[in-house]
Amino acid sequence: MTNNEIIRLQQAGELEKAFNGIVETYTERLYWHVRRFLCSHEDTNDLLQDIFIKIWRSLSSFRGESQLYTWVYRIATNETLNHLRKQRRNSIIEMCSLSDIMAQRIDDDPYFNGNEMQRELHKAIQRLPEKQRLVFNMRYFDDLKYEDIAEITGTSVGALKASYHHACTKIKTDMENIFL
Amino acid sequence: MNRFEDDILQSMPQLKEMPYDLPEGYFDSLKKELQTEVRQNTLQPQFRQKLASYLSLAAMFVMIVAAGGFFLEKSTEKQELTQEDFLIFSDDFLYLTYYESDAEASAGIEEEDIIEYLIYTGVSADSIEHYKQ
Repeated sequence: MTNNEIIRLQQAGELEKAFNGIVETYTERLYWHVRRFLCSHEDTNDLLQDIFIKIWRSLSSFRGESQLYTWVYRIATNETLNHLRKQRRNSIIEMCSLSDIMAQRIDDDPYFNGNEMQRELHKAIQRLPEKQRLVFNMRYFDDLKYEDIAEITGTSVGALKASYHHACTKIKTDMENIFL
Repeated sequence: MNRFEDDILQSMPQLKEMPYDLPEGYFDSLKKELQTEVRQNTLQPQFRQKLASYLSLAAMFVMIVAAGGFFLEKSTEKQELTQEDFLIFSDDFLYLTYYESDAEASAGIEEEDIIEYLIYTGVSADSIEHYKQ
């Protein structure tokens, strides 16, 4: 189902059909978007259900002022960042950094099937500050335009470009330290 | 963009792939689960609305029955009072009632037995004669 078809259903009050269209179209993309942040299949699965419930509850208020996919991504991103903030608070209590917890999750993940370079890339991403991680994931993996990322995150395009540049530089340094 | 990104991040397409397996049929079952959950979410408010309307109907029925019972009780109470008032304040009726009930009560009893009883309870012979007339 295309975004236009989903919007047409939503505007006609066919909310359940519109929602089913969103589920069909976005489940996989949102799963990987969230999974890159949480580094756990179980956590991603739980949070994804919360995200879709939020999408369902907000669907009637979607006015079409933004593109459907940036609206969907914005909800998913906000929920994910809120979830990570809660995890960060818990990690402070446990006296360890969230990036260390995430690196451990990547190492222990029974579903990991990549090579060492992929493993280190994902660990390096976890060491980035939140905003750099956000822009790197959406730009590098999802190929989103800066304009769309700006709409999702509420940040200027210039700031996003700078963040992406810093993210690439840090990842390069980390990878060089490991592999060169 | 710097050389490293050109060399590594861009020149190795497999780095863009997600290096994770998933449980078999995960996305299909997740999609079904989400759609079912929302259907239940959609139905629940309808059920709640129905339940609320049934409850309000039941509450209205109870109120009507209670109000009816209250007014019925009030009107019955009033009727009893009226009868009592009538009995208390109407001597004639009481008198007639006395005689009627007395006649009924004494049905089948001989006059001599009544006189004996009255003498036994201390009623004077003059009084008996007076009431006999």
